[in-house]
Amino acid sequence: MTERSSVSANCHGVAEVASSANPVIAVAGAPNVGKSTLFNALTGAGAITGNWPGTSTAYSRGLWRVRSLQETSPMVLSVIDLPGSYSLDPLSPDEELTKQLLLGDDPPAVTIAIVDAAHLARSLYLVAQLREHHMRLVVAVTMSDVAAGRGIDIDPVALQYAIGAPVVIIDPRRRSGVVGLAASVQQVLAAPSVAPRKLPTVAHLPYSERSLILEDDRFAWIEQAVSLSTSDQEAARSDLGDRIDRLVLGSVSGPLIFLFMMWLVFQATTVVASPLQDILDGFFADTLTGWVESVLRALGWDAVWLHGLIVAGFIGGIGSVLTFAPLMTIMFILLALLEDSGYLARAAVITDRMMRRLGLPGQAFLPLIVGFGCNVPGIAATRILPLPRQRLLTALLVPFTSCTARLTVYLMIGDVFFGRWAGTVVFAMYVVSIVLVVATGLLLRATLWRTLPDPPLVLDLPPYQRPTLRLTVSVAWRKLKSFLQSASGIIVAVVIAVWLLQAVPMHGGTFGEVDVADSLYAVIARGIAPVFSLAGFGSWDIASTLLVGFVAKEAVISSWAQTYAVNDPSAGGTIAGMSEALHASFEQTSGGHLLPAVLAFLVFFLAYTPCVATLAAQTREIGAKWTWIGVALQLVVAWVLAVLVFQVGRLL
Amino acid sequence: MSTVLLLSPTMHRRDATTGPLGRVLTAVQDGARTAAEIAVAARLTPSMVTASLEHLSRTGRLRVMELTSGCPAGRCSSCALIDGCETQRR
Repeated sequence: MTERSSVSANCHGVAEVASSANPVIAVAGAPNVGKSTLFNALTGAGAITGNWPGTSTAYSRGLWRVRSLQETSPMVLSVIDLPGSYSLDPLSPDEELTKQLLLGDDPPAVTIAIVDAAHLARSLYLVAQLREHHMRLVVAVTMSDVAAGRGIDIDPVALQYAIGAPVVIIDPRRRSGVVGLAASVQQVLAAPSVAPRKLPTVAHLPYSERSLILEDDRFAWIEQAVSLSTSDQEAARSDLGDRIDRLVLGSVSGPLIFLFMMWLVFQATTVVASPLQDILDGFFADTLTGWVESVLRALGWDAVWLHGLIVAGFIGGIGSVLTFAPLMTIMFILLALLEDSGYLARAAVITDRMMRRLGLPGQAFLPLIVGFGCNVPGIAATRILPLPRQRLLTALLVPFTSCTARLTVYLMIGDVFFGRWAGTVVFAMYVVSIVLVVATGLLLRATLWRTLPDPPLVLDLPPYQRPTLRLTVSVAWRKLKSFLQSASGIIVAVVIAVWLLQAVPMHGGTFGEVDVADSLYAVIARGIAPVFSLAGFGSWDIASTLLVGFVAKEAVISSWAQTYAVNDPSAGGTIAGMSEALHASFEQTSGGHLLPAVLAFLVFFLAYTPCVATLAAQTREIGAKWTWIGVALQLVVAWVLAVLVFQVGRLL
Repeated sequence: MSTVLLLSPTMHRRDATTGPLGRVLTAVQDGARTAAEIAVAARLTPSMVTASLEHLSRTGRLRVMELTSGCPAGRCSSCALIDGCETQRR
């Protein structure tokens, strides 16, 4: 390559500074290795920047005056700062231009390849490819101070021997090593180009195989160069994170720590949030309800149906869900802390390992993890699985993952019936959810999917770090906002629907002024309630929430609050009022076996159909036939388990 | 903050690739899940493993994804659902 004096102006209209007689020195390297810093150190203020002719790719060029080794007058070199490139296999226009300029018809006289000492193995890939061509090459090593800080010491002589080209350690920011670089460039300029490195014979192989073999050969060359030229301190070093990982990822200690962490999150959530929840409950039940009732009275709007819709419906229903906002906030903060600290990534490794041991496809755990947030994206995430059979199997398993909407019901039931053990109950529900996923997966694998290939995956574990307040708050707020946004829309719609059904009299009476037990709502619920008698919760008021939960789990608490508030306005849709009514209902319907019935209800609630949105997502992904097979599977599993829990529980 | 997940859609011929890249792929196919596990199985330094994984990812042999429950915190580009998502953050 000679200087292109015909390129007379750059995009800013600045005249070219170089003469065609100057040897061209190309500076190549991956992005962020200090390439441009070196270029600026060599060329000073005279450099110009513009687009390479015919392209939109920016490059810089300038003159480098070096003390000549043979002559008294300085030697002038024309330096081109090539676009950053990891390799000579271009993946972008920048890399394409770099390849063209280095290997084209008019190559540079000398190529300076910059390598980052802190990431030597990565940086040497480009050098490995350059050594496969006839060219004059000098390797400049930057970032050696950063590498030294990490315990990596590089021997330039050994590296030079391994690469087969001069190696110079430089620090462009301090201009150290520049004189040595100039000497090396002049030496290789004066000598013939070095013979290229020999490559394995691959011409007879298909392209995909050929390229992998060539790349593997380059990495073997890199491994040899790195092992010859760097100290072993990096490999031998074992930091605190490694020691923690040995414990956290241990085959026995790992799952135990994971379960303990999850228990801690739920227990801490329920204990810390309880007083905040009481304050909010008091606000909705007393302050807001009293204020709205006085406004309604002042306006003369004292119709029973209006009171039922506004006070029992909106304030009672929405208020009862909002009282869980502090609880959700605390849980999201704790989970964000675990995520930010790097622990959740380790938990994913534990989960994946567990699934593989059980013979389930490892990749399936990705949609399942998404499903623990919400089943709908969990179903959609099955698209990442390469095989239709894997997608189908996983889409049938996702509904068993316990989504955030179900969490509010666990929390309320836990709080009402189990007091200080509420956190443990919630934790147990998540364990049951995991057991259900695994057991159903094993069942399906043993029957429908006996052979299922399992493509491998790698989890990149972030280093452990101290969680930051800003990030933790931001992640927790985003999750809370998302939950409240989706829940609020659903709840308002369901509150209106439930109110309408509860306002329709079935045994005489006026619209909106009917005992809820005589309403259309209760009649429908009574139709399905006997199904749950064997499970200990066969009363219409409990069964009615399962119908609502079929539509959306977010609306279960609001519909309960609405039912009990309409039934007994003094309860005012409060958690306390609902708690008493629920106690009485479970006590009565279970024949005195309160806790087995509550546990059976929780298990059924976890395992049966998540919501209509999930059904829609399933229909889209796996078709209507498999969606309904899935619904049947969920209902059967949920009912059988609930009956088992109650019948066994009542005997204990 | 987010965990990056790498999925390997392709297998390789073990006898044809016995260098670091081949050993990394073999280790992954044999069940190594983290860089530390790969380093042990492939008898490589952590930096060689990192460089190999980055290369495999850059050349499309490993697919990089964000591991998260629900929507990822920042980039939509790494999300598995991007093709079907109606609420992408642009």
